[in-house]
Formats: sequence, C-alpha cells, structure tokens
Amino acid sequence: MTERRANARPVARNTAQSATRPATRRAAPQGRGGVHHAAPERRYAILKWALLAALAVYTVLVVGANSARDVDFSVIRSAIAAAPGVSELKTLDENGFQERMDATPAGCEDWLMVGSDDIMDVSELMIAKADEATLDGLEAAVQKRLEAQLAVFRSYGVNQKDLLEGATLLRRGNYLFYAVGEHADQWEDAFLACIR
Amino acid sequence: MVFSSLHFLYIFLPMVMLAHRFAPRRLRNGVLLVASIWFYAWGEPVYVGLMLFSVAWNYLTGLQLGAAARHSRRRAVLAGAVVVNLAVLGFFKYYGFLVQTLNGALGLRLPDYQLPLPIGISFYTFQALSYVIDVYRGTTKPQGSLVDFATYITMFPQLVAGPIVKYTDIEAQLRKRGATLAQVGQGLERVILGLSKKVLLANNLGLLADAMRASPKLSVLSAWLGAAAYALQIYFDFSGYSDMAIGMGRMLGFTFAENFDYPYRARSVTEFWRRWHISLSSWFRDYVYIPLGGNRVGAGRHMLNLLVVWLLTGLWHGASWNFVLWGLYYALLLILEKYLTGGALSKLPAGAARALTLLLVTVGWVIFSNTDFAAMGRYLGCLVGIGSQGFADRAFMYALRSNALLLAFAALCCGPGLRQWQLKLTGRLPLLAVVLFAALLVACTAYLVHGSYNPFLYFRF
Amino acid sequence: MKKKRLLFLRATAIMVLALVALLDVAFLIHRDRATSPLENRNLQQRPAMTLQGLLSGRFESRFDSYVSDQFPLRDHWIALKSTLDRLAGRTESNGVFLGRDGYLIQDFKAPSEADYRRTMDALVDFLDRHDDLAQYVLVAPTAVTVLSDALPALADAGDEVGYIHRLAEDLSETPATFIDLRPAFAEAKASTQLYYRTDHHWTSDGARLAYLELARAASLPGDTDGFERRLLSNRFQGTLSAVSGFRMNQSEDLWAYIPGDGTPQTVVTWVSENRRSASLYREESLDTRDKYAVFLGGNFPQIRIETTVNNGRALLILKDSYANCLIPFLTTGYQKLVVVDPRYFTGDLEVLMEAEGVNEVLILYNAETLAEDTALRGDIE
Repeated sequence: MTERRANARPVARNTAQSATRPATRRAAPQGRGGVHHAAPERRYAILKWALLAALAVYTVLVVGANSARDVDFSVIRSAIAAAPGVSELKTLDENGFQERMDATPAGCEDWLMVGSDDIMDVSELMIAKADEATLDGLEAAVQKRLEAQLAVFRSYGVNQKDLLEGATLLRRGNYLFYAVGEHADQWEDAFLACIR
Repeated sequence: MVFSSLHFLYIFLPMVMLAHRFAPRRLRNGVLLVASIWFYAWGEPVYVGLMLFSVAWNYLTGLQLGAAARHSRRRAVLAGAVVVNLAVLGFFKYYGFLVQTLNGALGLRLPDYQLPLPIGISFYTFQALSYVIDVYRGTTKPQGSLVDFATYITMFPQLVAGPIVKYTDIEAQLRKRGATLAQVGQGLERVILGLSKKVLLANNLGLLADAMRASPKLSVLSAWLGAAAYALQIYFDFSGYSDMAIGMGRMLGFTFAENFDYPYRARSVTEFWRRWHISLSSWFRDYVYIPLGGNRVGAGRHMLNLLVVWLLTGLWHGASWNFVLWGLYYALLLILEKYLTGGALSKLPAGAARALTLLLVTVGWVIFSNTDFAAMGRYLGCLVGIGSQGFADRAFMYALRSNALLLAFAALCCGPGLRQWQLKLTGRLPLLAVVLFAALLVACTAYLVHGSYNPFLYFRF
Repeated sequence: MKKKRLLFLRATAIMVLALVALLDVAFLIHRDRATSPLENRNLQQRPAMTLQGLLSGRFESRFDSYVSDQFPLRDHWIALKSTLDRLAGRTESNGVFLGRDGYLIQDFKAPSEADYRRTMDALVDFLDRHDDLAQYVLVAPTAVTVLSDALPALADAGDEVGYIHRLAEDLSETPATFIDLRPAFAEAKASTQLYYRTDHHWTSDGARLAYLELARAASLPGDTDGFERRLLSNRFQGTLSAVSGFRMNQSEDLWAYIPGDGTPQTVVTWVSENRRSASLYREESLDTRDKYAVFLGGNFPQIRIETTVNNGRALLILKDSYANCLIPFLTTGYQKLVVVDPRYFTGDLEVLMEAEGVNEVLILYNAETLAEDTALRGDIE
C-alpha cells in the first residue's frame, strides 16, 4: 500500500503549474516569423477543415466496406464459379441444402451452396441473400452444422477438424457468407469484392 | 494485440522495451509512437486511420487554442473540437445503437451499418478531450511537437483499456524520462501481478461465471455463485489490465495514476466509485460534474448533476440500454446515500457496510453483464428465488467444490493484505521473491500456451 | 530493507530478461512442427503475408496462433497447465470428468426437447414402416452411468439414465425390441473393465457383454467361445485425454476378440472405398494414435459383411462407433451384415434395404451419440 501511494503524483487541477516549461517547447507556429497571431491560428483552422474532409472520405469508405452493395446475385455466382477450388465441388439443390443445414433456404431472395460428395471432404460454401430474420435463422443453422461436423470429425480427422474450426461466417448487409475449406479465404475475398 | 498473449509478452514487448531503452533520447518518443501505432494496427488495421485523425485534430486544436487570443474565439474552437471528438465517438460506437432505438421506437427504417467498434476509441477520445479542455482552461500549454502529442494519445500501455491518463500527469515525462534497472524491475513486478490476475484468476472465474449463466436450470445459490464469479472476474480482468498498463508505463519511465484501490473493500457505493476505475470517475468529475456545478448547488440541481454524469458513465461503457440502466442504478444509489441513508450507513460496523455494498455492486454487475433485458430479468429473478430451480442444487455444489480454492484466493486478493505481504517479502527475502515471481510468470505462460478462454471484457470500449 | 528491495527489483528485471531471451532464442532456432500428436490437431504454420490478409486481420490472428502453436516446449507448458488445474481442484474440462481409478468420463448432454422429438418421431416412423422386419434397438449406456461411482465427488453429470429410460418408453409401442444393458453392466462392472479409461468407447469385453444380451433377444449363438481374446496394444491413448487435457501421458491396454478357427469365414467389403478384405480388423491403425480404428478400420458410410453362415438372415445395422467392436460377434449368427453409419451415408436407405434384401434391423448407438445425433433421423425420415 505504501509503495503505491508513493508513486501517485499529486495532480494539480486548474492551476497553471506547468509554468516551468523549458523554452524549447513551442506553442508558437513552426517556421514562421510568428508576429501576427491570427495567421497561424488561421493556418491551424484550415488544416483542421482539411482533416474534417479527410475524415468524411474515410468514414464513407469504412461504412462502404462494411455494408454490402445490392448486386445481382448472378454476379456473385459467377465470381464464385471462377474462384479456385469451386469446380471440384458439387452445386447443391434445395434438398442438398436442407440435408446439410437442417434448414430450408426457401425464405431467401437468392442463395447458392456448393459442397463435396466425398464424405471425408468438409469443404463447403454457402452464400444467402435474405432479410435479417431469415439470415438470423440461417446463421443459427450454420452454427449447428459446424457443431455437428466438429462432433463427427473431432476424434477422426485432424485436418477436417482444423478446417472446420477455421470456418468463416460473415454477415454483410443482407448477405450471409459461410465457408469451410482450404480455399475459404479466396472465396471470402471473391465474395467481398462483389459486394464492396 | 492483446496484453495477455504470447506474441505480445515475448515478442512485441521485449523488442519495444529494448528499442526504447537503447534509442537516443531524442528518438524515444518516436520509437514509442511507432510501436504504439503498430500495436494498434495489429488489432485494427483499418481503424488506425481514425485514431490518427484524432491525434491530428486534437493536436491542431491545442495549437489553435494557444494561438487564439479572444475568449469567444477560444470558446468556439473548444466547442467545435469537442463536438467533432464526440461526433466521431458517437458515430463509430453508438450509431447502431441509436438507429436501432429510433427504428424500434418510431418505426423508421434508417440504415443500420454494422460497423465494428474501433478498439480503445472511448479511451483515446477521452484522453484527447482532457487535453483540449485543459489547454482551453490554461491548465497546460499546448504541446508543440506532433510526435510527442501523438505519443501521449497512442501510447500502447493505456491505449486499449486505460487508465485514462491526463496529459498534465505525464507531460513532463514526455519530455524527459528514464528508467533504472530497479524501476524496470518495479514495472515488471506490476506487470506480472497484473498478468496473473488476468490469466490465473479472471479467466478461470470467467469459466465459472459462464457455466452458471449458460445453465438452463439455475438454483438460487447457483445464480449467486455466478454473479459473484462475474463480479470477481471483471475486477481482476480490468484491474489486472490496469496493473499491466501501469507496470509497462513504469518500464518506459512514465508514472500513471492508480486506477483501482481495492474497490470491494468499500463501505458505501460512494466510496466504491472512489476506488473503481478511478481515472474514469475522475474524468467525469473534472470535465462534466464540476462544470455542471457539482455539489455546490441546491439539492435538486445536485441530483440532476449526478443523474447526468451517471447516465453518461453508463453509456460510456457500452452502446446498449442495459448500460444506461446500470448508470441509472448507481445514480439512484448515490443520491440515496447522499440524501437519505448516508448517515445510517456510516454508523454500521465496517463488515456489514462492506457486505451491503458488495451486494449492491454484485447486483449492479448482473445488470451490466446482460444486454438482453429478458435474460437480465430472469437472472435477477433467480437471485431472489423467482423462476429458479430450488435453492441449492448439485450443479452449485459441484461448481463450488471445483472452484473453492480459486474463489478463496480471489477473495483474499480483493484486500490489500496479500499485496502488503508480497512487498514485505521482497524486502526481507528478495531472492525467494524473485523465484515466486518467476513461478507466477511460468504459470501464466503455461495457461497462455494452453490458449484457454481469454476474452478481455473491457474491449468493448 | 531498502537495499534488499532494490536487489529484488533488479533481480526480477534480470530474471524476466533471461527467461524472455531464452524462449525467444529457442523460438528463433526451432523448426515448425506440423502436428501435435498430444493435442491431436494440426499446428498453425507461419502464415503468408498478403495485403488482403493484413487488412482483414486474418494474418494478424494467424500469426498470434502461430506463436502459441510453435512456442518452445509447448507440450510441457500444456502439461503444466493441466497439473495446475488439478491442483486448483478442477475435475472437469471440456465436458470430460477426471474420475477415480484413472478413469476419464465424458459428460452426457441431454438433447433439447425439439431435437429429441425429431429423432424419436423419425425412429418410430421408420420402425412402424418396416414392421415386417425383426427390429432391435440397443442404446448403450456410457461410463457416466455405469461407472458413476468413479465420478468426482458431487459431480453434476447429465441424466443419461433418464434419457435411456425415456427412449425405452417411447419405443415400447413400436415392434422393436429394446435391449436394456444397464442391469447386466451393473452386475459385471466389478469384475470386468467395461469402458476404456482414456476413451469414450466401451472395451471389447463390454461389447461382448452387450452382444450376449442382444443374442438372447435375437436368437443368436449365446456364446463367444470361438473367439480368442487377444491384447492388440498396451499403448492405447484414447480421445478423452486430448479433449480434456487430463492424464495426457496415460495409456492402457486394448483387447480384442479375434475370430478363431471355429468361427465362420467373412468377406468384408467397404463399399464406397471399393476395398475388400477377409479380416474385420485393420492392423495399421495400431501404429497410429487412433488405435480404436483397428475395429473395421473406423467409420465408413457402408460396409457389407458376408459370412459362410447359411441361414438367410440379413441384418441392417444403423450404428455409431460403439458397434465396431461388437460386429465381429454378429458374424456367427448372420449370413449378411449391412453396416451403415448415418453420419457418412448419403444414399437412399430404403433402396439399400431392398437391394441387399435385409430382413432384420439393429439400431446400435451409445446414448451420448444418439442424444446429439442429427444424421440418423435424416437418413430414416
């Protein structure tokens, strides 16, 4: 206790105790004659406006990167079809979707899913475009799917377990993206490129 | 980057400390600045820009305030700067909250951009605001060096989770500081203690708290056990992190003010808030409460001041209505203590007063930890037997038995006794104490390697 | 005292510096390990640095994992953590209890009401649909029930007994014969090791006992004299130690009942792998960590076993991994065994049943797996 108290420096509030400042620190503008006070203040003001403009641009970019453009789903379909590792996978129909995800894609505006026939291959990819409520349900279904898959492969497939644990699940705007597999990163990048 | 990770402890921190120590004095702030930006960018590759904006904006504001002479002009500059700072904080942290509330209440369909929260934005924004306001008040002269100022704002020890360091506190040390081997050792002592609190205590308490919360059937005692575990978890998590920040600051030559003073020994809620997250309550006191009039006004106005400050404090902790409720909860308790029960409270024996305060604080944490009001209500109900399954069940007994040692040790660490003993030990049997600290570091490393449960609760900010 | 305090502070600084330097040098000069047999998983390799990866945060989080995964002396740190946990009184980790007498016991997680109903409805439907077939349902209790006295004191385990009981009740209306193993197991546990200490499976002795119960209900040969009890390995380390982190150095015996000369010949076909063998065992598994896979080579979507028993009995077995060490006993009583693991089977069960001409059905699961199942109900719906 004593040691801690000794460390705490008493802080003076509302008094200009910082008067003992060496002259090297400048409160004056850099590089100017510094005679007229208004000019440097104006300079700072201009710089600040420029900063605000930069902030506005930055904010727009950040917001844009986090939301999703409303693109035609066919754009996403072709981007995915062109992505590496997809051609080996089978495109699933509604029954296939239902079987794997234990949920129906019927409520979606559009969706795609690919997976492998090989039982030991856990690669799969699902993209759905739907309203928030449907996406909530699908997200829960994906979580259950991952849990079920992990339960299966936990003791039997080290590689599969790793891929499943590294699964990607994203929500952007009204899109849901779910991917497991070696190429999941590239699929994610392809998808994000479409909707940014 | 997280303090309690192997990468940070064994790679980043040693490299930065060495670079800082062996760099020429003039370049030390630069080294620290680069390291801090790297630290931040590692966790937030995109939001680094926002933090740099805050640095530049507040740096220029400081200079502008220094250059402007007319009072009205200075006031305008201050107002503008504060508005922009709060707008940035408000947008990036609270936009979703605002939109969801408005949509829900007024049936609007405003777009909800699900922006991830920039780490540390509440902390660095408040630090920047404290600087700007202090320059306006004349408490301090503006910092002329952009590098030095940036170092103050972005300094990695306290960037992500505090303590909120006032510019005036470290202004001199920005210019000149040093750390002898002994001071480095002192910093490390603190770092190891903080790390142990986080990794050995908080994380394991978190497992217990989560287990109780996840259980669909809660008995009354299980609910209390879970609540107590959470209360302990958040204390050791947060104070451990503050300890590490203070320790690392020490190693760099900075002296940060204490952020916690054994809060669970408080004998009243008023006292609790003088001991918990001291830097935050000080900030609100200095920059909101006192300007509003503080307690030097009539009772009615005083109560209003308290209400405003505490609603803001609650809101600062998170963009969700339960945090507002939590703030309100404390506002009411503080008002009660001041105007009604304060006298009676001081007459209680210390033990009873502490127990009562702990009770109130623990209930407060239940409000704090549940963003979903339905879940919160259910849990609070279980605490008093409404909707609970029995008084004590097997799950409670097992949890208690499995965590008895942990809970006992955690309770012990809530008081100053152990720390005082440790300090005495270092002065009597120094080499044994070194072995003890080595053991702590080894134990923490073992837990970190195992990669056990390691979220940091205050990262929301 | 001040001097000693100074000594402490300086020594602490030096101590930390030394420890960090030691570990950092070890980290720098080490070669990346690909897998951790101790943890039964792959270890993170040095991640590739890409712009996208850096911006998205993927590189950063992978690098952090890389440091943890390749940390020098990783396995020792993990063992230390386990020991510290146990010293602190922890007797459960990741759903596995640290039991007495060297046992690791997996906790039972009861299914949600909705899940239970779905599985039960699918089962009842399936059994009623195929009432022309002889039907047997064997849901084995696991160690958490049978060895409940080995659980740590006050352990709050899931109610597996209640679950099995409920299953039996709900299935009593169907034509299936529900085989309850609990009485036989309760009696035998004092003299026989029914479950592995480090694995969630039952031992071959446990499986044999279960077979005897099944044999009575299904009119199968009531003894296993034709089989020879042989020790296949004394270094079996099951999955529970990896899952829980407890007793990671413990290993035990793996016994199996090998068909002797008096038993029927078998031809085993792994249908989707297009592999055929005369043996029900895969010896190569004994050299890996997953030694339990010696039984039938592990889990496959579909295995057909044809024997020289000429009685026209063809059994469809819907199963999980518990069945793998029980199936050899069934070869004495059936001409054909069609073994289907619903977790991997993607075909049409009805078609398969027709094609293979099955006239009996056995549903053989352990209670834990059945409680978590989503595959069986999908295949039989």
